[in-house]
Amino acid sequence: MNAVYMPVIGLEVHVQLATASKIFCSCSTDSMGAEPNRNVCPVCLGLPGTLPVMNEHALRLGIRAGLALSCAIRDRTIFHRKNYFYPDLPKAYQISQYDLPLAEGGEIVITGDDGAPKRIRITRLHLEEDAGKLVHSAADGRLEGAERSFVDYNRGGVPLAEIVSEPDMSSPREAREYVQTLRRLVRYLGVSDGDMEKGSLRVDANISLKKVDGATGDLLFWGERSEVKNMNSLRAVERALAYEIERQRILMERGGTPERETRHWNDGAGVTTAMRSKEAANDYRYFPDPDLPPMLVTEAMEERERRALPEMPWKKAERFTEQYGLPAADVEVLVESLPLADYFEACVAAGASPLRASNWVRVEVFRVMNERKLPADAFPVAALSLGRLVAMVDEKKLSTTVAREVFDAMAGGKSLDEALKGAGAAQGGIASEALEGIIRAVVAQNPDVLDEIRSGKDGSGKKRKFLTGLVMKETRGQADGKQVQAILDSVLGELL
Amino acid sequence: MTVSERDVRHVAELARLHVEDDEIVGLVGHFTGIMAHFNALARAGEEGRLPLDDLSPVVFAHDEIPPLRADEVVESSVGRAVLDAAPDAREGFFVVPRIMEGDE
Repeated sequence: MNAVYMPVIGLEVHVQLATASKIFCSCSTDSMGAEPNRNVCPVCLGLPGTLPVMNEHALRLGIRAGLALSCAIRDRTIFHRKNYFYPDLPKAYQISQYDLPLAEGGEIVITGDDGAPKRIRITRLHLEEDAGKLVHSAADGRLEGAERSFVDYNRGGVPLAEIVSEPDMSSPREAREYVQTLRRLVRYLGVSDGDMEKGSLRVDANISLKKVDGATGDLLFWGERSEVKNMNSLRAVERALAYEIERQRILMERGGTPERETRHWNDGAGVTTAMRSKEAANDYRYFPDPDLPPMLVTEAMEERERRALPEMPWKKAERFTEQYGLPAADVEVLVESLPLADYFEACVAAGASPLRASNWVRVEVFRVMNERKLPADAFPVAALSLGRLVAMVDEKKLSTTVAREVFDAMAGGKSLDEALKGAGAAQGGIASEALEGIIRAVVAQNPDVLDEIRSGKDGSGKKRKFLTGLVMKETRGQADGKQVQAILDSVLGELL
Repeated sequence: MTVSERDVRHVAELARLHVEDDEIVGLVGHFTGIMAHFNALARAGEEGRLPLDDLSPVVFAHDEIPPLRADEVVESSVGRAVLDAAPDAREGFFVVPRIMEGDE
């Protein structure tokens, strides 16, 4: 019998909400570069006598994300205490949600392994506070010490939305695609910056293998699932799951049974390792937090967030394909970020042809963005200017070479007009009288070539092309090739 | 529901409480009493005495929208004082006995 192993994958994604202050207190959420334990207060440190108060913006962002995932929003939602004893929680409990989450029953569509759209069901979205950070040693050695761990509560209390999927993914690639789709969505919504390296989007995966009879499709055995943590990039998600599938498959083929356990992805070594399992640790003793009244989501609040929804990235992709006739690969790149998609559309609105605008954005704009590590919305060249520049190329008033020079000058801070002047290009291209002068000069400087053409040795037209090339060089590519040919033909006609 | 010594030890472990062997029997008695009280509460909805079964945690005692906080940062200087009061602190960090990643 030929057994086939089929992966079953569900993901829990923690998204840090883009708020200025923490979820239940007024401390700043911006702890990049802040000294440790700077953004803390009596509430997030869990000092006696303090009470949490919900951040309205965090609630709104949660509602917005829930709506975008087609979830039903619960009009009354409550917070629970999740109890566990660990130094990253000053209160020894995390305020989270349990059986009455903010949003439930949604879906997101990805491209499945067979290339067709695949629906991934969203079980729930709930709000919770983040835990503090433990540092076990520092690279600079200052905090070295085998006996001690170091605790920083700056992150404690930062608002998170936990988005839980159903186990609907069947491969590491689908899992990666799901995370990518979700990341793009939360960025579009302004719900989170979605930066996996900074930890604003964290992925835990539940993965098990089904052993199926290859001939009949009958389910022979379904292994326990393991939960994989610490995947800090899209690539890590894909690699960790591929590793875990192999590990479970080999285990099952050898007659073993995967255990229900939590495993840690070690990116450097490319393996998952078992975390010490403690049954008691999974007993979180959830109960409703008596310090927080139930949250009321009014129709007005829900409606306001519904109106705040932008065009969804998948809708935008459809529209870009239809409206601009762009190839799928172009669309994929352009809609990945909302500022970039907007930039492209503004170029087109300024007169650029969609295909050429797409090429310029994907090549030149990307190049400068990468070189300078700039986000699209802080790009130095205004979309209007690039749009006009590309339109000049469309109208053959500028060659691509000169247009690139103009673009680089604009990227260096010049306006379009300054950059055009600097590159020696007038907006109207080269006047034909000026061009004729250049052509006559080029012909005069190459009497041997003229002789060869005269003597009829240019049957293939190579000599003419050579002269055309010299003219193009002389005009620094600003001249229109067809126009040069026409004038050259008439000039040669006079001389032959 | 009867409470066993094992239950008491389990709860003590979850709460990270050290309990001496000779304290266990007494605690079993306390637990049993507490459970009896909850059983009494659970029965309160029977025979039409109180409509407790209809109550859920999302029922409001008052018909008012719970307060929400504007998303504004207010700095607190309490961190320094709390660090000073901590049993061990270094370089702005609270220092605790070493806990390896994954020791949850």
